[in-house]
Amino acid sequence: MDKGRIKDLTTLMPWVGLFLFTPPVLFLFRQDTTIFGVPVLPVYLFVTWFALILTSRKLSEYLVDDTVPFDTPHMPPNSSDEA
Amino acid sequence: MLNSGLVLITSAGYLALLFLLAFFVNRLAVNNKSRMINSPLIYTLSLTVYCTSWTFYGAVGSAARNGLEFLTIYIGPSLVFFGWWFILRKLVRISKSHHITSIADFISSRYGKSAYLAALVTIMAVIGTTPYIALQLKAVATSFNVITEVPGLPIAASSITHSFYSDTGFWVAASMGIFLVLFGTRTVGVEEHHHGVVAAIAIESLVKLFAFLAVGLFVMFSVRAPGGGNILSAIALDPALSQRFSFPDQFGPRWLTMLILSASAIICLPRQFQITVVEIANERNLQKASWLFPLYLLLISLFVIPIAVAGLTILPAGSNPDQFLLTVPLALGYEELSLLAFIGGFSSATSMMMVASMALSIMISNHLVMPLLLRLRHTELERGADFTGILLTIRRISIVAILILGYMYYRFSTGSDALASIGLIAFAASAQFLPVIIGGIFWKNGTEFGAFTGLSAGFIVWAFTLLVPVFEHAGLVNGLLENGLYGIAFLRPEALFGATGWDPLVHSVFWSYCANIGIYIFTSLISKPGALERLQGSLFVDVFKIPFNPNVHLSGRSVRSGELVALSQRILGTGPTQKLFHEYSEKQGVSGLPEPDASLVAAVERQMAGSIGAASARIMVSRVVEGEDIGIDEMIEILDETQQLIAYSHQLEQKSQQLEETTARLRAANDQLKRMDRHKDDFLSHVSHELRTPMTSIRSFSEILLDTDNLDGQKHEQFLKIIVSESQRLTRLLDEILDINLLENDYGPWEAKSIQPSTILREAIASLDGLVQQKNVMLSDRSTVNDWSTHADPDRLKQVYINILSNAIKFSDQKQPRVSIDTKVTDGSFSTIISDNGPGIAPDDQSAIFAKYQRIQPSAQGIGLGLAISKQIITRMKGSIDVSSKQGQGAVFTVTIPNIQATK
Repeated sequence: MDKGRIKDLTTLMPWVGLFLFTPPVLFLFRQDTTIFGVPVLPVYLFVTWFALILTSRKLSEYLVDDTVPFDTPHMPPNSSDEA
Repeated sequence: MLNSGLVLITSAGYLALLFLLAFFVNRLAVNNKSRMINSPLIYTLSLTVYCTSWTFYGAVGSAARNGLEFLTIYIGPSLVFFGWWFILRKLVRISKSHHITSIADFISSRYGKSAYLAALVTIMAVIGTTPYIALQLKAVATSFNVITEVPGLPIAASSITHSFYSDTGFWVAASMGIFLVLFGTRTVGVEEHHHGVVAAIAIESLVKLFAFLAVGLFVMFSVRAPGGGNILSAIALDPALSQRFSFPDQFGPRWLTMLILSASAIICLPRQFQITVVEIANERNLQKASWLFPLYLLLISLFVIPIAVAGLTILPAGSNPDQFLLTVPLALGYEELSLLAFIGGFSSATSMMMVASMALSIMISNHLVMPLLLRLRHTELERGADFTGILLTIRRISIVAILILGYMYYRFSTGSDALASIGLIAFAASAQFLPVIIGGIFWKNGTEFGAFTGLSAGFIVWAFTLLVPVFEHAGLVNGLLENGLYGIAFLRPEALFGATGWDPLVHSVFWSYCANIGIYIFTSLISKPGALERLQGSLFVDVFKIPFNPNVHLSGRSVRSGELVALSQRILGTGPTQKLFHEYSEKQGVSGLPEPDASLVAAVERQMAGSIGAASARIMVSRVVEGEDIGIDEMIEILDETQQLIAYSHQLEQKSQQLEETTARLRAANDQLKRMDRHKDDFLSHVSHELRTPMTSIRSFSEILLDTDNLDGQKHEQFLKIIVSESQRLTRLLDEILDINLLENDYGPWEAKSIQPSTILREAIASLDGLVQQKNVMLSDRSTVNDWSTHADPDRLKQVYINILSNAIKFSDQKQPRVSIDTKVTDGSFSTIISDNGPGIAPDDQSAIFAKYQRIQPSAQGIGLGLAISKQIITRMKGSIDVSSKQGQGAVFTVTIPNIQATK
């Protein structure tokens, strides 16, 4: 996938997350069923959260070259503002 | 119960370790061996200063009281970090290019380096943060009391009855003060890096995670539910519990509000901004933190529910759920575990206090004290030698002042038992910064006036709707909640403008954001931004787009090098000043002091901004520099020009694309024209040739007749006949040429009347009878359609039939020439199919035969205009004429005319 799409996907991530964690979606998991004795809703919240973390990790790997390092505290004057 | 001496010694020992760690890390950093400290892992761990004792103890309490609500506090920040590319990266990039020192500096810098805005943000931050610091002290003091208290005795909510020297809170505050004076205010750095503090809070992050996980795992494996299963199965057994960990209908607004609040807190809490944006060493750290930080949050919240359930199940009813983390292991006799939990909570509290008071001290010194000093005693200050020292002293005093303030708040507030409510109040205060920050980095039209009024309005509404109720519960004010301000029911703090029955938090966030965002946008639009505001706005919003160093282009500032050096030395210190000026000397290629050109002035101001904030730096530089504003106007012009250039080049690109397309079309048209020109030449030479033949014979016979006197009558007559027939042929040729020209240009007589093509066809066949006889052709008319009619010119149609039929007859070369005629009606159109068994037409020639100059067989009669004329006629009838043929197997011509009703 090209980088532009990855950037857009990264921008989309919080909104996808917000959607997955808002009441109408959460209502779907408001059941009496349990998984290993735990109600479904908390399980859904943690599993979705973890899935988002994995996705974020995958996406961020593509973007590593586009960040700018600014390790050096004193840069030469002609380049100091491009940091 | 734990021995209080043991707890004290452990805590003191832990603090001592932190001091040692900070000391060694600072030593490493001084020797430039700070690679480890700058790593993404350390950065992520330092971010978790977000998890204070409020979340450490309070999450369990919140889970026990309100079920899943606690998760919003962790999920909100996770969402922000998932979208790091969008907001956080931009904040970091801007802060690094402008040497931002704090959130107040960021906001003020964006809105024209406004000193008033910086002061306002600082005051808001102090008011919002002090209760939060008090909360940390209270958490440490309470937790200390809990684990040293004799079990079974009820734990007093306000056990702060001791004098201050026997109060744990005091000693914690004091040691934090000492720690920060030692490690948090070592340098007035260009980029505000405090490696020692960062290292300490990173270690503390590990400690609190470890402590929490230890208690969590212990609860999971050694506490059993009443039914015998693991502790989580207790939820399903108890209806009250399963109700609590479900999602009630009316819970939605509060859930959403808390998600938004915690998401904005991770950006806007002053300490969080300090760690996330100011202390970051490398933009790449953000990339890793985007998933590592949410993972930390997930881990630390993983066991909240089991611990809460365990506390509710095994502890006596009425136990304080905020202390479950300590009391559950204690009740089961695992005192070491509760000591570990205590150290975890201690870590969360101390790391928050460190960063918060450090961030606040920078803001107070740069944005409250400095401007006042500059205003009141600037003459003395300008003579003063070492400004760095003064600055550090101010910061140290500020830190102590903040901690004292927090301690006083803690001592004098009886406070609510629920830690969570104070935390949320602080979140809601910091969330007021969000509109001006987001607006500031994505919207160029936000102005200083807009930001100032928006922030003030939001803050006033926040204070009225959240702080006033707290004061009223504490007995500081009376009757406001019930009667409203000035007795107006519309102005009740928790039911503003008649919004009764709302959750107080949702109510406050709603109204304060309405006021904040609405006024920010409105007043921004009606106020006129100054030059500097516009410049800063462009630089912030377009931080990724503006490729050049803007300050290099600043001109019109004049200053003497000596004054600049003196100023720089006082603020930055001698070392950095020498370094900076030396770099410029080398760049300009001069020995000694560099020329004080605009870029040097800008560099000095920027370096100073890294120490004392943008607003103060600007004031101090403008004292020694003249004529700055001209430069800014030019600057904005350049920025505008750049934008215009970008737009212009975009247009150019589009234009050249259009041009290319047009050129391609022109080229195609030109090719066609050339081809047609060639065809015209061919045609002319054909015609000339055709005309020449009869002309030659006419001429030669005429000459014979003229020159020869004694020609016999028979010969005479024969020659004259030839001349006449050749003249007729000539006329016919000229007629045909005229005809096709008329047809092509839509001129010429053209009558349209109702006709039956079958009749015309039969007439055409009849008129060719002689030719048929002569060529001995077997003509079979198989046409069957008789009742089909259309509107057309009958003579013209007949001309077409005759032409095609006569061609078929003339060109047949077989011994038994055959021509057959067929008709049919398809899709309402009448088709006449004429096929022969002649030589056929080569595929290459099939399209050419209808062109007006072509003659396939050189020997044939005429100049080959017949088919071209037929084609023109049929085209004018909106029909078509096609040929299909194989060489040697005859040709099939199909004439199709559509059904046209009377048009006129």
